[in-house]
Amino acid sequence: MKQAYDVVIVGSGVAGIAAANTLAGHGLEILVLDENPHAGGQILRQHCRVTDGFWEFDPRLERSGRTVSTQKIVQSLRPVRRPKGITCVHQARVLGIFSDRELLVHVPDPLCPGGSGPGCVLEIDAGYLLLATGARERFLPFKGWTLPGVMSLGAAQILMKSSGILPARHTLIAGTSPLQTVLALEILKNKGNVTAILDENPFAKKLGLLPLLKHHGFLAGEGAMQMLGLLIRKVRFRQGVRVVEARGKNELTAVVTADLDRKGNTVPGTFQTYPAEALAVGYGFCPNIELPVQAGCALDYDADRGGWVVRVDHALETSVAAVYVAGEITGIAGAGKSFVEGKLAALSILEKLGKKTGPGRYAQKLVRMQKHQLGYAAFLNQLCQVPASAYETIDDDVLICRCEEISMGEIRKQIAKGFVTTGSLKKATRCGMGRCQGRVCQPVLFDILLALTGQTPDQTASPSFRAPVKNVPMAAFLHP
Amino acid sequence: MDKEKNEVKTRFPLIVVIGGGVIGTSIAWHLAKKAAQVTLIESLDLASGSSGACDGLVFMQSKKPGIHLGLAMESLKRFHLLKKELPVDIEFRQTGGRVIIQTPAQYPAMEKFVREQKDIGLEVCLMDAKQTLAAEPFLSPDIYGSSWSSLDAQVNPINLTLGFALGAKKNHARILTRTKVLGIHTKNNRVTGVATTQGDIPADLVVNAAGAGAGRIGQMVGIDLPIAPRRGQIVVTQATRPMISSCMISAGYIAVKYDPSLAAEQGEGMSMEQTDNGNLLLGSTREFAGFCRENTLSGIRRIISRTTEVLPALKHLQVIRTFAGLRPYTPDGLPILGPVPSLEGFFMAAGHEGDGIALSPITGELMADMVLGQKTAVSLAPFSPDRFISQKGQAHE
Ligand SMILES: Cc1cc2nc3c(=O)[nH]c(=O)nc-3n(C[C@H](O)[C@H](O)[C@H](O)COP(=O)(O)OP(=O)(O)OC[C@H]3O[C@@H](n4cnc5c(N)ncnc54)[C@H](O)[C@@H]3O)c2cc1C
Ligand SMILES: Cc1cc2nc3c(=O)[nH]c(=O)nc-3n(C[C@H](O)[C@H](O)[C@H](O)COP(=O)(O)OP(=O)(O)OC[C@H]3O[C@@H](n4cnc5c(N)ncnc54)[C@H](O)[C@@H]3O)c2cc1C
Repeated sequence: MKQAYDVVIVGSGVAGIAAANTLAGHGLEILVLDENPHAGGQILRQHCRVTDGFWEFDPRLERSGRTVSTQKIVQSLRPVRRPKGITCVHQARVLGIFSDRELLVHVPDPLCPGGSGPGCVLEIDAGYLLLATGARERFLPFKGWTLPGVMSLGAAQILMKSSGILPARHTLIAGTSPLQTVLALEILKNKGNVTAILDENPFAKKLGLLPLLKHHGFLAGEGAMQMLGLLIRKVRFRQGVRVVEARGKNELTAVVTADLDRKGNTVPGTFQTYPAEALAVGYGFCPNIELPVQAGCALDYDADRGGWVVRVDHALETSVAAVYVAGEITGIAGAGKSFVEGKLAALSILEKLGKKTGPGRYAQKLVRMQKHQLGYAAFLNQLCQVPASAYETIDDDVLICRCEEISMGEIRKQIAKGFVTTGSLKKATRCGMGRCQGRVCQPVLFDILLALTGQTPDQTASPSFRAPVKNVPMAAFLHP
Repeated sequence: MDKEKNEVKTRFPLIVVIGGGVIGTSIAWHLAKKAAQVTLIESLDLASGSSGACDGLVFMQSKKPGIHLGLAMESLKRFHLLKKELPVDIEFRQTGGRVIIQTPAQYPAMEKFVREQKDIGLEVCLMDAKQTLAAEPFLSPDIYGSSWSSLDAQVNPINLTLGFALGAKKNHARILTRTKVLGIHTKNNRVTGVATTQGDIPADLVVNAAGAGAGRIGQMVGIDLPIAPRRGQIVVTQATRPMISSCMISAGYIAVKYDPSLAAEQGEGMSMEQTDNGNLLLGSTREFAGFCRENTLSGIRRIISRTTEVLPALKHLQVIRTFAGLRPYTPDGLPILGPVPSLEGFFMAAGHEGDGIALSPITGELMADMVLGQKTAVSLAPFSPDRFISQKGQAHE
């Protein structure tokens, strides 16, 4: 590893891989960093199991029409020899970004001078920086959500994808996320059982959102096919219900739901109890904006894109010169948009560097594809969104910040005292000051603030983040 | 002009305090308790400046004997009352404090230091390595000893600031956050109000408690005061079982505090405290880097190598966060408290550098008394802005 690179790409998911592909072959020194042991990010990880590999997408992928489906992306991934000038480092976690695109990176042992158990922390300078850090899942806390046995849809998915382990013999699936059906199919494929899918979205809401999919008939079809597959396998399916409690002494034993009315409020007296060993639940996604915020990039709030997203111009450059972003962090819209944006951002960087990038028509086509993919974002994020009442009705004894054990009651109390901005509420409650530094609770806290105060997102203020983005051993700083 | 002055005297003065750090909120609370009409103006959120990015040491041993230590001792007394009076748990604990001696050369110096402290009546004693390790078993066996005082204490600086603010609010102070002061309105060399991002706010008296930003506020009215931001970085570990029972600083820290020329050889020293939640706060650096609040890899490394040297068990912990605050530095290490001669109704209350948390209770009390024209319990003369006012400032007269 060197101290400086022409371009540093953070994240080797769909967006990062597409960008690295495009940047290769122009005589640039490029560094790709990812904290996972393998490339691939959320959807390609099980296809990228070689440690020293490099991947590209079949060029036919972008010629295949306006909609780039997840399935097509997976199918067109192929291993290639790593091109000259490209360095990929895995298990390398970017902890922070300082001025002038200086990255603070935690790298594993073999890359440390002298080698040391906990790895070491290096500073790396990026001529151009491309952040493709993806998204993480969003939660809606309910009573008992911290019990062992309750997990996110993604965690259950990763468990099966990376180690072939089922969440339990019988799994209950719930929430608003489209990952519900994906997970159910994956569980069945692995010979597990799905007790039921408890979808919060009533059929009428889904129907109402269909017009947003008018240019994405393909995706609507894909969703319908998944549903059909589940119905054929006789998976029990309920719509318009919310999980209100997970019960159990030391681990999950039962899940309680309530019916929802048309506005998405729970209807009293409609509780139903399901015995359960595992509950996988999710409420959509929020972009991983910690690094761009540290780099000084301006944000925008757009519920239709998943909340706080990084502000970009048409070339995917952020408000900070020479810092580009691509993929889920500009708006949650799935793998197709990540693919297109990875290419676009790379082209923009090449152009800035005065490299030949082929006909302008090509870039224009990508821009059109990007716009098109963004159309899907509105559908996806509205589908996942829950009404303000869902936050207003969280019981006082429900934990919001798991690390610091801060309850909803404490949060209500401090909001009533006037701590109504993201930063001040955190100071007044310690919510988000624990071990995970708010990775889980910070987006929830923001939604609670919006719901309880009726303020605008700008009045509530975007969150601030500092290094390290995730925990790092003290000892890693002792070995220069 | 006389007529206007009389007008001001016949009604309660409107007081504006600029800055929602520990100093501004303490002043606002003390004023509000005296039924004064106070508005506190903060450009961001409460405790978003240095007061929200610092340690919470209320350390007596580190203060220069003389007026500085005298002020700190008065402040310490008040913490015991605040614990009961403020509407927030300020996590004040008199844990005692330790100054760690790390080189043989430091030992005689610290012997002298302890003698001096004892002479002025401070409860301090010197311990050799064995005694020190008996009290703090996790410390490195390589240390040479420590000085110990049961007076030293720690507090949660964020809670203290929020406690002052909520206490002030309870006493009918107005607190405007997310409101930035853009200028000071004056008439006939008298303050009449402040211009803010939320409009004009009338004021008869203005207290500048803007911390490291106080110099900029001063410049708005042509007053040049040498308050500069001095960055301090801190490293926070995961919460863990009790590893130290008292707060600690290194002997090098004391030296460099009074003689910046030692900084190069002695280093910036180190400080450690374990909070009520079990996190260890490891500090800190002393750097002039303008208003930049970023951490640096070299800063983080310096802190971690110095603290792990003294407390090797730290090596097994995880870093969960780093941050940096801007101490309001003054050239003589003392805060600037009092009226400025060139502008009537304008008061300074800033420049506490690395001691603002410890000195906040007494600062608030004395400033409230002074602003309201009452007698102060301790003379503020040594802290007067006059000591820095240049010819240019006086030309206003
Ligand atoms: C839990 C989960 C499950 C999902 N499952 C599906 C699914 O089944 N089907 C589907 O179509 N879509 C799924 N998605 C949506 C997915 O986000 C997109 O389909 C697509 O993979 C996004 O690609 P990306 O490149 O933008 O981000 P990602 O694929 O998320 O890639 C981001 C990469 O950045 C790396 N990274 C992040 N921060 C750092 C850091 N600080 N230092 C170093 N590396 C870092 C990560 O390790 C990751 O490899 C899922 C999303 C989540 C969060
Ligand atoms: C690393 C570090 C460790 C420290 N450790 C200790 C310790 O252990 N013990 C101790 O006693 N002290 C310690 N200190 C020092 C202490 O933090 C400061 O002395 C104290 O916080 C200063 O308080 P303040 O209210 O003057 O300033 P601040 O807390 O900075 O408050 C000033 C406020 O004014 C606001 N402001 C500025 N300009 C404007 C404007 N134009 N309009 C409106 N508002 C404005 C700012 O936003 C800010 O909130 C430490 C400091 C650092 C950096």
